[in-house]
Amino acid sequence: MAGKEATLVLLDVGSSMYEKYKQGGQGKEIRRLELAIDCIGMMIQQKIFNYKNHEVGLVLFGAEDAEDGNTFYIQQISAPDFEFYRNVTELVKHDIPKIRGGDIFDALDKSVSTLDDHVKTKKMDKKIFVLTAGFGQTEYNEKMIAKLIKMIQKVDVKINFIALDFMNEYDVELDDPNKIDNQELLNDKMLNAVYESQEQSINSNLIYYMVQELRNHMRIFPANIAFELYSQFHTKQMQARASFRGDFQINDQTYLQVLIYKRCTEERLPSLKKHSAIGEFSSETNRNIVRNDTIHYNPEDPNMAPIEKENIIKGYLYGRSLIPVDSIMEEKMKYQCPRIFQLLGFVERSQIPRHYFMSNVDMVVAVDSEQSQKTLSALIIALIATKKVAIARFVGREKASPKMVVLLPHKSKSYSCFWMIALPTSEDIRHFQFQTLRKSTPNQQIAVASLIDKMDLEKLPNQSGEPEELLKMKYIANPTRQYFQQVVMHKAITRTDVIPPISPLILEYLHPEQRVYNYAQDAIQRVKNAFKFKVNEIKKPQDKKVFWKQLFDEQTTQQVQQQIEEEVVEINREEEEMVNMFAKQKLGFKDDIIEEIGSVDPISDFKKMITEKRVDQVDSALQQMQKVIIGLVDQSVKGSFFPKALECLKEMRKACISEDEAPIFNKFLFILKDKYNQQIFWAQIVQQGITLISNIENQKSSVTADEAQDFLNKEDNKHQQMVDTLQHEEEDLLADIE
Amino acid sequence: MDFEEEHVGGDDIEEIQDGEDIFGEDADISVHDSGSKKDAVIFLVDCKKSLFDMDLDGQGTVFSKILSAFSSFMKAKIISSPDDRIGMIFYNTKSTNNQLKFNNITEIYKLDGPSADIIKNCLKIEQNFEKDYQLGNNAHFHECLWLCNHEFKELDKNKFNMRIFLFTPDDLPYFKDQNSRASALKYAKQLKDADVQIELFPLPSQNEFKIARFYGEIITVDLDEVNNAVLDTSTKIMDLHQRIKQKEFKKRALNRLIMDIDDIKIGLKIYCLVNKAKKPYGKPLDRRYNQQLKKKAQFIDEETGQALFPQQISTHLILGNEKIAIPKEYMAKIKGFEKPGMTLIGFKSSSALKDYHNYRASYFLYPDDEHVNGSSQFFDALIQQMILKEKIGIVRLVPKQGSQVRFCALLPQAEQYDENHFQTPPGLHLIFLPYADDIRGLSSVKQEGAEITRQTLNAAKILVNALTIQDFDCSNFEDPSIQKFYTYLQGLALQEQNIEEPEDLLQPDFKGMEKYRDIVNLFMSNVTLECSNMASRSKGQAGGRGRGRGRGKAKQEESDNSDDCSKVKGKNKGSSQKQKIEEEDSLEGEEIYQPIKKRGRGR
Repeated sequence: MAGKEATLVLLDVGSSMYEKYKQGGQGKEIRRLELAIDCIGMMIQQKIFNYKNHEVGLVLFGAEDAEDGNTFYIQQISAPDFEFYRNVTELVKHDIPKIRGGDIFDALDKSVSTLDDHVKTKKMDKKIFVLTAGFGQTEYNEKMIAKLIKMIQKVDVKINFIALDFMNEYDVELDDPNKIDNQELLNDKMLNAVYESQEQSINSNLIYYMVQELRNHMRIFPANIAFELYSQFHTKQMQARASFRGDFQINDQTYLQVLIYKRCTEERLPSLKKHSAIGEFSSETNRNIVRNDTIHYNPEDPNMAPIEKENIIKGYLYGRSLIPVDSIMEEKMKYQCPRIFQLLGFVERSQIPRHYFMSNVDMVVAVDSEQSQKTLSALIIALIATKKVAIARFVGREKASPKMVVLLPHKSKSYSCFWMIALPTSEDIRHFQFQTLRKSTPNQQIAVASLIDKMDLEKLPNQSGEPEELLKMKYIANPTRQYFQQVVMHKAITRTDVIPPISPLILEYLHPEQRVYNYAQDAIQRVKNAFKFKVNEIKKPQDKKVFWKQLFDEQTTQQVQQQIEEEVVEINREEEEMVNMFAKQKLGFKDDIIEEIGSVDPISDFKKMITEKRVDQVDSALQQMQKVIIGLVDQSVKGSFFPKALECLKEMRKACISEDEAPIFNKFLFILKDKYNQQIFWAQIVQQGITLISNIENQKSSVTADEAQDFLNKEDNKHQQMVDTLQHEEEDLLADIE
Repeated sequence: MDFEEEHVGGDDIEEIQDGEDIFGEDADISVHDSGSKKDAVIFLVDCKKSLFDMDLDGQGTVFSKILSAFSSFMKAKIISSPDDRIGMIFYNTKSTNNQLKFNNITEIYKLDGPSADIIKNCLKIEQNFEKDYQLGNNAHFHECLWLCNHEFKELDKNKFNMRIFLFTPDDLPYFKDQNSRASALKYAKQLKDADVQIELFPLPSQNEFKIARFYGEIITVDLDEVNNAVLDTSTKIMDLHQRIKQKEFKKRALNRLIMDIDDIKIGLKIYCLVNKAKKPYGKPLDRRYNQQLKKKAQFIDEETGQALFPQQISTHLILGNEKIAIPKEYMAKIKGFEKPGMTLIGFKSSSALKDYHNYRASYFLYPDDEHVNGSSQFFDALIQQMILKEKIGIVRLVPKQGSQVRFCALLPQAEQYDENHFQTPPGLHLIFLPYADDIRGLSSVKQEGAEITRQTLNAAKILVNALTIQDFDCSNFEDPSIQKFYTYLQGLALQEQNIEEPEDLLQPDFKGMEKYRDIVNLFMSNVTLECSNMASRSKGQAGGRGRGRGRGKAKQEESDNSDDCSKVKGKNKGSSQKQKIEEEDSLEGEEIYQPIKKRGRGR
């Protein structure tokens, strides 16, 4: 049943469709019918390439030669092939009929029953596309429409209504029954829309009425943005299939049941197959077949006599010797492991660098059980609040290699899930050392800052000066794949050896930078002036080694610098200082004993004091830390230092557990509670789940886990509201607008 | 498609793979780890008495740590680069054994390819040290360098990167007089001229180790790697194992590239900092004679039975029941509409890069000042400003002729040092962005989060905080399947009878988690309570799904004292344990939480 779909396309072929498409913009002289056919062609193309289980039919309406005066079957509902595509592209060449457009509702009515008859009880999604400019006369009144609506709901067919130069006033953003103001605005717009003909106006009203009644079954796409229209056919929707269904173990006794789906994975081009080029090429799939006979032979045997399969085993290089491994041993060498998904622990989000994401992204959701869903939901919200992620061991199927994965909490309007991504292990990570960068001057910094501001892709002014976002990745289809399909289509239709040039549409979205550069020209010039860029011939790589000591020697430093740079062209004052960078910069690390926690980097000072082996500074560090935290909170303007104070508090909590000083922390937490109870800082503490250290975490504590929880629970209403607001802010930060 | 089979004997050029993946590896920036120069390393160890004292952490002597670092160094080499050369020389030993017959210097392993025997036996050197070598009089330091130089001389300078790893607890070697100090400097100079690099590994000692006292004049620094860690003048002794690990791969760029910003050109080098290690493909072997075989693919026209030459074979695609001829030459043109290179298009806020925008491992970009002067400074300003403004860069990238055009995000990373003086290098991470085609729509599996009470949420927060792994580092985990493969391969190479299973580090630490069992139970009972409240309120639904049971007060002995679940190392006997628990549950007659295994429909 996975992903089967039957689609019926209704194309208006009245004379109005042969007129120029008005929303095309300058330089794009295109007739409505051509645009519509382009769209249908795109759709068929997508179906041929991507969806083997989809069926498509085509109905023309507004055709004079039709038996019933309106609709005309061109293609029965079936899996589309190139013949279908060729026929569709021929449509433009037909004679222009006298009537301006077809009866939309009559066509819809007939199509819905046709589709229903075709699909019967099969499990297929049903879809209808209507493409029209809305000039057709109709006999349908509201009563008949109401009947049609009922039928559409009963048959459960989804209708995509694509309006060309028609219903441009419709704005899906406003069409929301929950927002009465918007809805009234839209009603107004729709009622007052001015049309070329009375038919358009009647059709517009009826269609608008239908959409209101059929919110889940009908959508309108005004064709004023051709790209959106095309993209309607572009995106490949895959039927989601769970790749894993099983337990997620929290510990040896506690499980929740989850499902895993693919979220992001590289969609590759289809593979090419071989055929023999010696005979005449036939498009039939059972001709020109090439058989592959692979033999293994002894390289010392001049006859290259094939060796029988049973005598061939594998050998693996270990050092320079080849170790023979037979199939029994091979099996033994495989890591045997049952299918399993286990929590290893939670980790601060900041400890998983983004560039350690190694793989595809999967989505983990709970199965349809209240217990599992609540468990997952609580974990997700708790992780978001505490800014943490989960680390797990994942074995997707029996005998597969175990993977270390990170589970990132995600919560948006429609999803509450983990994103699951593989992390590297020690075998995969390389620690390279790199030279410290040459320091940039203040002037250079300013130039680069303005470059970043000007090259902002999120709000680049468009022609009318309004900010616009460029390169929205979720709308950008793989251009290579697009071109590949274009070439294959061309080849299939024309059967010539000419490779068509890439569609300008693709090139356009691929090259947004010209617009950016034009807008940012001043900033680009400024960067050019601030840096003395000079492109050099690349010479053969040579090692540039110096004795360690030389780095500290001012004179050699200068030589070294020159060696690196060849020559500094114009040495201005700023740069003169640069040349002496190595000599003047404080080199290496200071490793003095730290006795005081400064306000610049209190956490690092605190950590050093706690771990200092030479003198015991734990007490002093804990005392000072409390002062630092209170100082940070009190000095904050609108909570400016709260995040820092919270980090300090967390660090202190950690230290109190490891150094057996739980009572100090617990006492301090009560002090904070007394002091800041009604303030946002305390709300943040609760929101991040920072509570008393329980006796489970540290034996020195006299607090039980239940009490620790109660400490967070027992808050008054006002406070709870504050916590909730914070929580929502955190979640919104992570949520993406979909 | 038999994947493994296809890669067998992939070195035969004449064969063309059937059903080949046209976007395969060679279309990508391939990782040439074995390319360019090979590595030659001599471990030069100053055998002082203090090496045989316990190390500060109490886990073995310093000497044993050097040996085990040597062993893992060789292990890594034997897998990744079997053509590298490794040697080991002890000095200040009583024994004398070397080609040049210098006193008190013992050559343990002559510079040679890594071998399974050495990996196995080098760890025994410590226990036999008294018998075989013993501590002795001072050797002449310049003779140590001389000997190393002598060994390296046999290698081709253009083919090898030569390095000496010098281990010593003393910041001043023994010199008989000023002359012998001068000779040491002379030989150090010779080594430098021969492109030999000396890496110093100061060992713990009573006195502060001052590099400036002597070694600053002989150890060399690669100008490409000058940073605070290299210039570390502190007395801090880094973890030996980790430091050697860091030196394991000689730094190598995958590619040099120009980044265009309109008519500005920025030079950069691409590095691979994370790369999934895989098991190697086996080579075909005749089992009777252990003779490596060659593979030859023959293509035959089914209709005529004729054997085909490569040029008599073309390719096609099957679509809509038709065969459409798409010769291979087409693919080059299809992929070649963009020129190779990198173009900076602009910037977006860092929140624009979502967690799920990922489908492969990242690369790292570092400026190439040699290629374009000013690149290093530009990177410095760019990184600082991007971090300040919370921005990421967006580039269009075609790594090389014939690869697909891709959009990528640039993530700034400022230079940093951790407590152990390990450098986080400055540069930009290159994250490949998915196209719309690569993102799966999941509208059919929508799952709005279930409502939970404040109490449950608080319990979850406490759970999350309790089970937090401190100082998590991916490098502390190993891939169990790769480890097992190589452990067995090594065992086979050494013809061992009983091969010891390597430890699987990627296991939950159930033992360490034991003490937090009550916290887990607290959380689960909150969830269960919430579910049963809901169920009792809405009748009729109660019997259905979502049954659970509170584990309330499972009485568990807290025998474990380790207060740290960061060592996720538990020896899992998961399944049997689980079974037992199920039985207990049914005896108690409680409402049972059924693990899905019973009704699961896993594939």
